[in-house]
Amino acid sequence: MRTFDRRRVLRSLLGGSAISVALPLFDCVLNGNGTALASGAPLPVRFGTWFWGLGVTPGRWKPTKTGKDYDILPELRPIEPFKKKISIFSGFDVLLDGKPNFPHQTGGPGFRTGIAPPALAFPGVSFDVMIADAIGGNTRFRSIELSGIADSTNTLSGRGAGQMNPSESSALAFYTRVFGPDYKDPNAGAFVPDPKIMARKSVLSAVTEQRQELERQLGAADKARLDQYFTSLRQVENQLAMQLQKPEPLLACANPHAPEGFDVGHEVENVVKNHELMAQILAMALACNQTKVFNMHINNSASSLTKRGSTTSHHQLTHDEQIDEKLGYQPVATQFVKDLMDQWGTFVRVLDGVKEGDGTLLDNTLVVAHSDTDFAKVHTVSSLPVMFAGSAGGRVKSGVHIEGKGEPVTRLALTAMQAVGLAQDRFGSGSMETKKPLTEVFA
Amino acid sequence: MVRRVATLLLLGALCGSLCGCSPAEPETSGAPAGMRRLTEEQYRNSIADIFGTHIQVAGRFDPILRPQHGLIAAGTSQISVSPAGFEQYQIMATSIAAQVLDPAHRNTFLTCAPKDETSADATCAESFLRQVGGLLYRRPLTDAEAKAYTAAAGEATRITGTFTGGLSLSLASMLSSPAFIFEIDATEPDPNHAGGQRLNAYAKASRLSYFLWNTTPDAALLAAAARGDLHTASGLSQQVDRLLASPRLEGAMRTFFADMLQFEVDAELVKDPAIYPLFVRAVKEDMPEQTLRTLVDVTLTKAGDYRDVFTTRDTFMTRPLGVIYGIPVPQKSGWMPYQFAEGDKRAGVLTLMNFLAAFSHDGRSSPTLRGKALRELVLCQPVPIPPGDVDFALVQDTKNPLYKTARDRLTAHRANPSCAGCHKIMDPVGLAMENFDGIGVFRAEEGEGAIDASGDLDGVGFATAADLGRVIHDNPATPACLVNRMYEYAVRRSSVAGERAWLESLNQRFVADGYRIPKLLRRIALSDAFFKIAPPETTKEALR
Amino acid sequence: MRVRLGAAVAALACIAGLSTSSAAPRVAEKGETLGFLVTKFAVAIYYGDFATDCPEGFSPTTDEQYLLTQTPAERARLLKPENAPELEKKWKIEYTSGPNGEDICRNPRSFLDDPRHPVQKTVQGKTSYGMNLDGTDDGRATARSCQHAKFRNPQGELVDNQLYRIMGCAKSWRGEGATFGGSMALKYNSYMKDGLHNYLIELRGVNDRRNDDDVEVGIYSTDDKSMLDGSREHLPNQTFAVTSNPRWRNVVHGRIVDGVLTTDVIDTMYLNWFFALNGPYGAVNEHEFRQVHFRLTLEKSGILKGIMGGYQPIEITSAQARNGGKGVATNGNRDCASEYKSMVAFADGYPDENGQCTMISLAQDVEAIPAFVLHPEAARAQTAALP
Repeated sequence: MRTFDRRRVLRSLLGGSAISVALPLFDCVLNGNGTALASGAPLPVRFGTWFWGLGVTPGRWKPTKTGKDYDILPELRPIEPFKKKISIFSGFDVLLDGKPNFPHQTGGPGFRTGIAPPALAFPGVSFDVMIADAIGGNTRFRSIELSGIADSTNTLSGRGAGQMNPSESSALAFYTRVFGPDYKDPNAGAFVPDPKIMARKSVLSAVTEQRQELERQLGAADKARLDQYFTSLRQVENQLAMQLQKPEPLLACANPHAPEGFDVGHEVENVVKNHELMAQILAMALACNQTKVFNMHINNSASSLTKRGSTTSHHQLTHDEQIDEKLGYQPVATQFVKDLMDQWGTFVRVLDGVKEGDGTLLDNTLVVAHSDTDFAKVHTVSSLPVMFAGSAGGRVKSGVHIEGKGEPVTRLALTAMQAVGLAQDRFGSGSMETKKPLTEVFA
Repeated sequence: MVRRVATLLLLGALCGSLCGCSPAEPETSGAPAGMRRLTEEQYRNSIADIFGTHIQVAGRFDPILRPQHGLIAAGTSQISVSPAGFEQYQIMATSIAAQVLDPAHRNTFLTCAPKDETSADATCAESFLRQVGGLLYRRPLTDAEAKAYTAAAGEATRITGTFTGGLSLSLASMLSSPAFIFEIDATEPDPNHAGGQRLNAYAKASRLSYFLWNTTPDAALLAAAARGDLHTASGLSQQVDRLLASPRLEGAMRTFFADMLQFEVDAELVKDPAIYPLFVRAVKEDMPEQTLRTLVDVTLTKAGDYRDVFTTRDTFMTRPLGVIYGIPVPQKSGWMPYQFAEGDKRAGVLTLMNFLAAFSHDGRSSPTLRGKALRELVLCQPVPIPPGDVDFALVQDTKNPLYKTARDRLTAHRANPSCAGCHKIMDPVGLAMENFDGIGVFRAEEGEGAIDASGDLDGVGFATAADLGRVIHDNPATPACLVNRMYEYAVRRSSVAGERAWLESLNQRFVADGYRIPKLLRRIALSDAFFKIAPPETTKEALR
Repeated sequence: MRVRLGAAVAALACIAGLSTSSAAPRVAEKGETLGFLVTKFAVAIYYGDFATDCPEGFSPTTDEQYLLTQTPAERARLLKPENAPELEKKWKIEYTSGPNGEDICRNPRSFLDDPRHPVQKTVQGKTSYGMNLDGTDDGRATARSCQHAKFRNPQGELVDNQLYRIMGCAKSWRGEGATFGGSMALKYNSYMKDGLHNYLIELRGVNDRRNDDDVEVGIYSTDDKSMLDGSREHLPNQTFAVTSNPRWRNVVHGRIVDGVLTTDVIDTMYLNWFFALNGPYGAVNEHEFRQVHFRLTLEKSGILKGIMGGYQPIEITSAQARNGGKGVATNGNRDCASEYKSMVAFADGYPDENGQCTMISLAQDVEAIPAFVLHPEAARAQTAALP
């Protein structure tokens, strides 16, 4: 059964003019997850990372229970309203294979690249870049890197030392870059179908043409199996056809207001404000399909955050501040962790506040939030705190706490890559090389 | 089922001495022509053999299917491709095709130059597609196929504006087509049986190659098919001997053993780290390899008696495994041979950690799971599934002071007559392995209770797990099971009723050959039964 | 710690055969051989009552010490929030540099006469872990020691531990009490988990694990990495080969009395040692201890646990800070110059020609779990013997 006349469609497309192509409706449209537009065309899946430096406080972040009913300890309270949309991962390690643990230089790059850095340099291609290469191609920005503190070198995204993606660290500059004079409203203007997709779709006809000849050789049971194969093929053909149509208007897309410029520095009070503004602009950059991939670094690995009126940095506090015997933790350093986790809650709230299709922007996104150490005081790179927010358009089950028990953290990176559709079957090197995603996370 | 195997063996034993000479091969019914989806391993091997190992294959494969009491190899006759699976095939195909035609590799495969890189060249495209397609489809392309793919390449070239871009997309669609993803039995009229069908020469080549090498036929085998050699006894035996002599046979046999002993269990094996802290990643990774090396060593490297895999004291160790076995491993990395001492509690693959850990619970050993696995996987004696209303509380409570050991608990459990029947089959052999905990570490006692590993297998007594190995070695069901499994693996479907007499005679030959697997492989590969095709409309009834 | 000793003991006979080699001399032919992987080897901190040990509180950190060098009025001015940047600049840059730009951590010797970096607060308590290194009961000067005060160990014996005296009130050492530990000790032990340096202990010729007056003890480095379980604990019963570097192999006679092993004195003990902080990695790669002896209990669980006492050249003790450079003083907030000056002032071993002691007494916590210890020559022989 041929679903539609390929040649007719192509003939009209090949004129080169931008036209809308009328295609018949198909019987099996890929929905089922509440993440499709009314017409059935899928919403784009977005991917991002949200990094914070210096980890969490022992006994105040990691849930004591695993599975769906995980408990919320003080440092996770900001995400309590979104618990069903956020998964917690603990006990996944950066494995060093005898390489040194360079304080603040090993955990973040180790997770992102799957390679324990042998020297003080970013050791390879980060997995967010691999994702951007795969899904970020046909948007204006392949990916967007942001830093909450005023430091454009604050980034964990890149292809290796010397080829890092610098971060935008001013909300105003970020706004101007996306929504400034070069911005074109995606809902206005003509649609030009992607010739690559056209071609990919066209060659499938050579396969369908063999069908009769194949069926002739087969018994009834095998004919049914071949039927199933061609049903699967047709679904992919339909997906490609969808991408050749003028897309539905992006209803959630609205031009945000330009923020005021201000000097951010490293004071946590300013950084918090900066981060909130950037989160809002980023949400619109995603809703308006300006980018599909982002990397937010709210602070840096050796956190240089300070409280207004103090010069003692968050980093220094983690080393020097005494653990309060009654509380069982460092009170001032822990306050920074609280501020950072509050902002993580804010970030999730902003994305979840944008309605898209039957769900929200967060639902169509996968955000991997992580730090570079579990306990900053001694720079551990075992049990990195990691969270997944959003469900990547229904491809990810969220709302669970999973313990890795010493498994390599690269399994989480591989899981994220596969969840957003990459044909990546392995990631990492040495003991961190893995071919096993966490299949229980896939919907 | 158990009874049938036993009868079969009895006949085999009676007949063994009488007909040691070479009687004619019993006639078989064969099964209708089928279609088998390449396994992930076969897909990867095929791509590597056709295009080279530098071509990366990155993607996820649809899940495997293991039929009840069957092999994954047989499951390939029953599965198709899901929508998500097709999407992945297409992604892999696009990436493979792009690599094949990238500037670094292009000249190896594209032997003609297009008239113009920006426009279609049907002659050049067709020659490329016929050449590569012949390898991917394991047979020459039909004219219709060649025409369709050439047309597709032309159209894609017009859309994308590049010749290699269009050609690569056409190749990608070939790579995602059923003729590549499935191995399809192509038949032709059988000149020796009027009205009958037989596999054509190319289908025979595929069947041989996926059986003995677990990959696509190489150029020599395809050439033999083209010449019609595979339809002649001498031509066939020449190719079979060539395939058997190749080091690639080992890869195929590893896949067979992993399939027979259900190694897929290992992939998802989880142990409670509080109880089994030694079950770390490095140990888990080396665990199946140790058993595979031991199996290959006995059956291929030493070309020994298959039954010796249950008694051999020879195995292989790595440093991580040394932690489990409690032995020093001098070699810093990689594998080194190791021999258990005479009288050691361990001998044979059933006392290596893979079997012991795979058939245990996550926090305790399981005589029942081990006994069941031994019966079903090693002896081909399926155990019925438990009734739905069984109370397992007694078996699971390892803290009950009345029942300290698993033997105590299972004895109490067997007091329930509805359980006794099956447990009688599983427990005595499973309890033999109780000296090894849930990850295979040796223990003399469980809790405070001393472990008694003695028992009997169908009336033959043993004292320890190593002793049980000898009993399995001498049990006639052991080689008979292997023969059945190997045949299923060869034809990648379950055996049918019309093949029973033949399997019986194959088993006798195996006994007479001294239980040598290479000889068994040769007999299967040269047999009529291996290639036999039943008429397409044979009903399921007739096959039972 | 969870240890399954059963398996290791079962196979020990086998090891004894392996380890009789040129690297394992003398007594090994009789009795069993017990191998161990060292899992803890870091400064032993006696957590006595804080008010007794450190009545004046912790030693000042770099910024605190800087403020102490200022007049009260200036201190008050600098502590005003609006002057925070000035304060930071002063203590992080000016205070941590000498007149010619010397780095207080890399060149601590150039600050010996600088009154801004005084000797640290010392431990005032009377108890410490350690061994009696000089053999005296009053700490008087001898040919190999300078005059110093003695501690008593928890068993009441007189012991020497001048490093604890000067560092026992420092945050980096004493940390936040026994519960949280000092970050230095945590780091040292975590480096062994990361496989940066690993040590082995081997007891040979053990005829009776409770009482045996003639055993041979080997303390070795190994180049092999240790495997860890899911909770980052070392796995027991791993195999390790003794290092091929003869300098890092130490053998000494010992005796076991009521399950406690005491070794004779090792005059000089070298072990490989990696300590990276922020500085060039691997700049110092050797531990040096003098007049070393061990006192270790062989516990029923199979663990070996106890104390090592000895002297260490202060140039080695201070190497970690030197290696890290100024970051140790700023980010780590340790006044390296004060630490070094204290070491010079309290050094109690190996006087130079001017009578200034060059080494300092210390005690290390030692813990070790069962392992198979192979000697390279024997390992090669074993491999060759296999088919």
